[in-house]
Amino acid sequence: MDVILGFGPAHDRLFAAALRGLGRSAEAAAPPDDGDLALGRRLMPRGHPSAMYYLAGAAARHAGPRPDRRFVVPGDRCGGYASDLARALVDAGVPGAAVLALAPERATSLWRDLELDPGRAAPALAEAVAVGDVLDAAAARARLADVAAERAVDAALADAERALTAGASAEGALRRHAAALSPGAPPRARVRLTGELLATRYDRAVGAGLARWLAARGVAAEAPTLTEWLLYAAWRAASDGAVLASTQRALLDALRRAAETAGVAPPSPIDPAAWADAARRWLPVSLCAGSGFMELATWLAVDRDRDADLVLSLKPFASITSSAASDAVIQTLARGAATPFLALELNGDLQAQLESRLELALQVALWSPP
Amino acid sequence: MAPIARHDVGSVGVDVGSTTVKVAARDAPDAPWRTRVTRHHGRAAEAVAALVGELAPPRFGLGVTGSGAAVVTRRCAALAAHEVFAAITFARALHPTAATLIDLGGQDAKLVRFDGPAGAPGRARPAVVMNDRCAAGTGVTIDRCLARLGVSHDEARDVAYEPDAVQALSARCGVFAETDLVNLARRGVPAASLVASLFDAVVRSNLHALARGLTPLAPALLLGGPHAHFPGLADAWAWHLASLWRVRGEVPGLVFVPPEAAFASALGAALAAEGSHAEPHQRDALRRALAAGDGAPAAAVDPPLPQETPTAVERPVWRAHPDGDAGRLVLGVDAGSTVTKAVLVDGARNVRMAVRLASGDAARDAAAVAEAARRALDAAAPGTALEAVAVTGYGAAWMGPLLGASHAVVETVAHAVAARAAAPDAALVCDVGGQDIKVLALDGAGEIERFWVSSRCAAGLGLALETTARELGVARGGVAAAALSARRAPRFGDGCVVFLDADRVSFQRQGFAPEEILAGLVRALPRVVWAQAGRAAAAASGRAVVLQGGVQHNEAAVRAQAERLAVDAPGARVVVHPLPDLAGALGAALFALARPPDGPARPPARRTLPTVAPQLRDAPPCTLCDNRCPRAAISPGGAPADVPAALAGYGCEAGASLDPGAAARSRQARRRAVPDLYGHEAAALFRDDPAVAPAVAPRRRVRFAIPRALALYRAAPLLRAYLRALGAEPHDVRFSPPTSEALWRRGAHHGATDPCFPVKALLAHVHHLVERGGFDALLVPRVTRATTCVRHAVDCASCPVVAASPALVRAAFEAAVAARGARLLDPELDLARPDLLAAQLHGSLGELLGTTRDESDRALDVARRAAARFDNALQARGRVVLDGARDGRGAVLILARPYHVDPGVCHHVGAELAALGYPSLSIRALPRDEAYLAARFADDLARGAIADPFDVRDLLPEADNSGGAERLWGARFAARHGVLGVLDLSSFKCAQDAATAAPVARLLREADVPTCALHDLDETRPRVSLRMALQTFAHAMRRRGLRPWT
Repeated sequence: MDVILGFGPAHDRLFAAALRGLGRSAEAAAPPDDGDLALGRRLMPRGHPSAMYYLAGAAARHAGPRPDRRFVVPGDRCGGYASDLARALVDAGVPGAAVLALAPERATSLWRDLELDPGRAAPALAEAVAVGDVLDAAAARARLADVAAERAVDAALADAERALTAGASAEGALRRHAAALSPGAPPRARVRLTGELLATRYDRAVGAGLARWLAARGVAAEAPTLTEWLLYAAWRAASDGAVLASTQRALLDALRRAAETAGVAPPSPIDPAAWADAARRWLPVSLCAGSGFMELATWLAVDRDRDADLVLSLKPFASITSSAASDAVIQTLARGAATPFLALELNGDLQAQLESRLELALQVALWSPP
Repeated sequence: MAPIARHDVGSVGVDVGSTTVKVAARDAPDAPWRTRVTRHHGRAAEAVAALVGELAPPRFGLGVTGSGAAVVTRRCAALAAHEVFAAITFARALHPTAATLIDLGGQDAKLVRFDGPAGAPGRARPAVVMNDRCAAGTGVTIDRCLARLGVSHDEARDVAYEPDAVQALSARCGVFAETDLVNLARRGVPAASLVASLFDAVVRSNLHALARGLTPLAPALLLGGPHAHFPGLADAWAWHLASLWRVRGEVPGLVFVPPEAAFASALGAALAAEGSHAEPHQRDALRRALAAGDGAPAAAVDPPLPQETPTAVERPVWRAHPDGDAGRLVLGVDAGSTVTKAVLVDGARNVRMAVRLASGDAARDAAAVAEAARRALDAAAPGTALEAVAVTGYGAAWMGPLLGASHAVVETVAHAVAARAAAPDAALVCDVGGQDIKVLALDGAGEIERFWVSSRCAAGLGLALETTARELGVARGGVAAAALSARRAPRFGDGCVVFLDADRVSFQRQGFAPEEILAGLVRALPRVVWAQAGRAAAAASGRAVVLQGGVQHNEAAVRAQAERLAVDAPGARVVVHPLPDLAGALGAALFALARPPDGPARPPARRTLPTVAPQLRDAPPCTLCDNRCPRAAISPGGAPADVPAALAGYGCEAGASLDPGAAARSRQARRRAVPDLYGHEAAALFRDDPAVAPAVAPRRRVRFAIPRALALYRAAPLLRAYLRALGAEPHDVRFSPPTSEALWRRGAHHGATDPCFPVKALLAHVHHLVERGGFDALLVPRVTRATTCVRHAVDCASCPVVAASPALVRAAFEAAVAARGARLLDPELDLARPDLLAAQLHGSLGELLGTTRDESDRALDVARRAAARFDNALQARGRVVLDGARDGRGAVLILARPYHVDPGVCHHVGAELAALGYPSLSIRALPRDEAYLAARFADDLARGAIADPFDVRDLLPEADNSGGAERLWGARFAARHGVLGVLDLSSFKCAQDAATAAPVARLLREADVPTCALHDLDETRPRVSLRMALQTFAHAMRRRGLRPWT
């Protein structure tokens, strides 16, 4: 049984559904919560970023004593924790637990590792990713509106999940809910999230609820799409320009179709190749910097396009990749730039301090002193 | 349309901080201000109500600011101003020429830089920075440190800042600074000097956390309570800013604290309210609204503490040993970080005397211990004899000579002995001390099997409880009762004390009652204590977990720990030591009783206690390295003043003698007997290789300056030889000196947010080079991949933080380097791909040196041979060490990243181990000879676990980081070699090493390799706890039959 965890609350469900639709045995784990952080800290050695503990705790909670679960997780920080996580799960009483960390930097062979036929699986998985991205964007806007709007997104997600499980397209599900998913009034401001995948995708716990906090103030928090992450993976893995172009096309086409069907536009995915030269002066692009590289590329892109008022890096404490960019580079680069940049170090605590820093950054970004 | 100030109403500004409420009010826009401050003890709304009632006019505009502003804004439509904007409003209105504003609050620090003249964009939208997670360097740090020193605010107010007299304190973290202060105070450093050092550390901390390379400009306006209250702090800012302006070529100017500094935020909020259109408030209505209570807290809560003591908890009483010889007496002394404890114990385990002293002065404590023991001896029956004096703890090194001690007992060993005396089946011992937490896993014979010593992030938990109780107005003795009376407990994080304090502020703000906050803090204690050793607890099933240390007197803390242990150590008994705070002293005494100093076959010598009237005075600082460690001499009473019984304060064994010549001779003798290959490697890496001859005639002279940091500890032999082969003279390839406290202090203010210490130290190295000048190119390569001996790994990438660190240098120094007419070169270098490396080197240096690609390639060939020569020579020396470790002699492999050999980064562990009689070597110094390795890895090869001796895939299949992969390989080498112990080093916040921690620990445990893990290395040198850890390690080595070489 494959357990999908770490791609985002919507994506985990849709990814698992797509795998079921392909005839595989798969399920999604519940999103991590603060209890998982405490549990993960007991299972794993000190020194890991907090996101790791959330992941370990959520995986252990999901598995319980059930044997032979393979957790399919995103390989942030190059996936260097897969063995350690598997060991922790076995130690925690999950016999036969295994972990497959899909790491962009290591060009992990998705199809081989998942034992899938790319010809058959690629369209279904690309659609799952695209639908998840669109529903994430819809959820971000719904948070600005009301509870009913959020319920509409939930309903669309459930329908899409059913369709994918049946091996069908989720397009019909999106179309049925399109009216309810359409964005309402424009936000007061836009904040582009970047940083580690778990922190940007699981707002409630790993992301310290900051997206929701922003929404309560009329500010849209735009998380990076999973499509963007896959584009980065494809770019990292590419040894053949034609294959890369075709992968990019497939992912972007799927995203465009889903967006058009739902009438919701997620943030445009950053093309890492386009930003590599600009970033090279500050961060060696050959480096296994993962989200760190994407952080820099995101900030450069937003600063050029001015399509957000603030770039907010959600950086789990001790996240080396994100630290490489946000500590070493962007804090300085962003000084005097048009778009301010704020890196917040998340460790499951100091909520009031995080909100205070974010409030200040927002006021500076909008320059709206009282 | 700009709002118009109304003359018919007054204005009130309220600043609700972490500990105080400040109010500023006036009756009309041109009227004088009235200001007042009060501590709120967790009841901020009531405090605001009282001050508003006292100061506010009947009708007023209300502005609120501060971290606790919500307690007011939840109840009324006040204008909420973020603290930074309140400060900006204040500065613009009252000090419009200020170019920089630096505001220190209780938990927050802010820096605002207004660029350009009035009307310039930089004035309208200044650069704003606020501290991140950590509250180090803010008012709370000053409060905690002063409390630790027993210095009142008024006394600290009178302390002048003398830059030449400051002591080295950690600036990174309030807990670390506190640790340093306590150690210095125990050494007898005067309080005034310590307070000045604290001011210095606070300024350096803020230059790290706030400036991050941004230069604060003059005039600089200092705001906030700490600046208002401590003139010495302002003087420290003035000194450091002047130094910064000098290095960066900025115009020096005024640094000043305005008279209203303490109330700047409140005044700013009031000024903002004067400019708003909001309806005025009525004084009495506002008072009623604020008095209505604090509303519903938002934080996650835990259930109350157990109302009954869990049944698994045992509280044995201390029992005498009926068969023992009551005529034998031993004095056991635990010279702790803040308290000295002593017991006089007889051979029947009767405790004849027990004292607890907290004078803060080691010499006075020694005199008092001797006096108390002498009285007890006088009262003892005839025929009894003082057989031994055993000392342990932080101050054992100087307490021992004063008392004429016969035994110096390693602190962990003393605690293990005490635990076994209370519970013979003890499996785990947990001692929560003043400065550290020790968790010891004991084997069936009561010997220490594994240990965890936390001297860093979990430090000071007992003190945290005390200071929090004081802050909340709860009496010291009432903490347990208060915590147990709470019906809920807000959930604190698991971080260090500084973060716990930040949580405390947050909870106060949310309206949690003092007893609830204390309950939450007590609940956090076991989480912090068992964070490192939690998994070891499972092995305690069926045996006892013994709780020791003063905090175990707190019933609430015991219940919280027992509850946690019921989960982590199911089936274990929880035993509270009968004399928990005396356990160290008791253990030392029992240790000495079991091991008479003159040997078990001889009758014990009858000892007399010296009359101790020790004097403490300054001794000449150690001159053996750049750190210039200040020392104190402790002389016993009556002895000539120049004959100290003990020296205190030195950072390493070299400083233990006043005679530098003697120290050098002793060091040389020890080197002959015990090779410190680790220390040798650090120096040899940067030496010129005389075998390298220029491969080309130099086209032009280029003087290179290179920071001795990070990847250079891997690449220096290659890079130096490459430049030499291209014609550079030896003196034209200059490296910065090794990291030292002095170098770090001088250059630490360039700032990065918070990476690991080795990365931050890079900036100090560059600062050193830039300050000295005399170079044409500053070379800081970005090494992205490294060559390693490990095969089949996914990759051999550098740590991304390390590889990106030259960007920090560029951000902080590009302008300064250009101003000196030099170039900053930060080429990307892939050491693992020869073809790419050749192109990268030529591409980045060819034009500057005027060399062709062919010449560059030839030079690189020379360099590769030189690098190989260096490695071969080092490995030959390593082989000598390994071959010498036989016939029961052990050696230590230091499992760490290449840059940890930097003595300032590893805190001289090689020398410390040599002083304990053990030679040490790095992974790099291990032999690579396949036949040699195949013999040792024969089992692994035979069962197919590895394809060859350099394979680590079975340990971590996804290993992709060069340093991580080498750690795994080194661990296997140690596990298979048989005569090696392992010192496992890792820097604080190194998530790269975290992934290898579990496989390394498991491998070493399965092979029964004595191991000491120090995983939180940081800028502060944890002298005493480091020594304690290494002594415990040496004890474990000896127990495994691995003797020291001397």
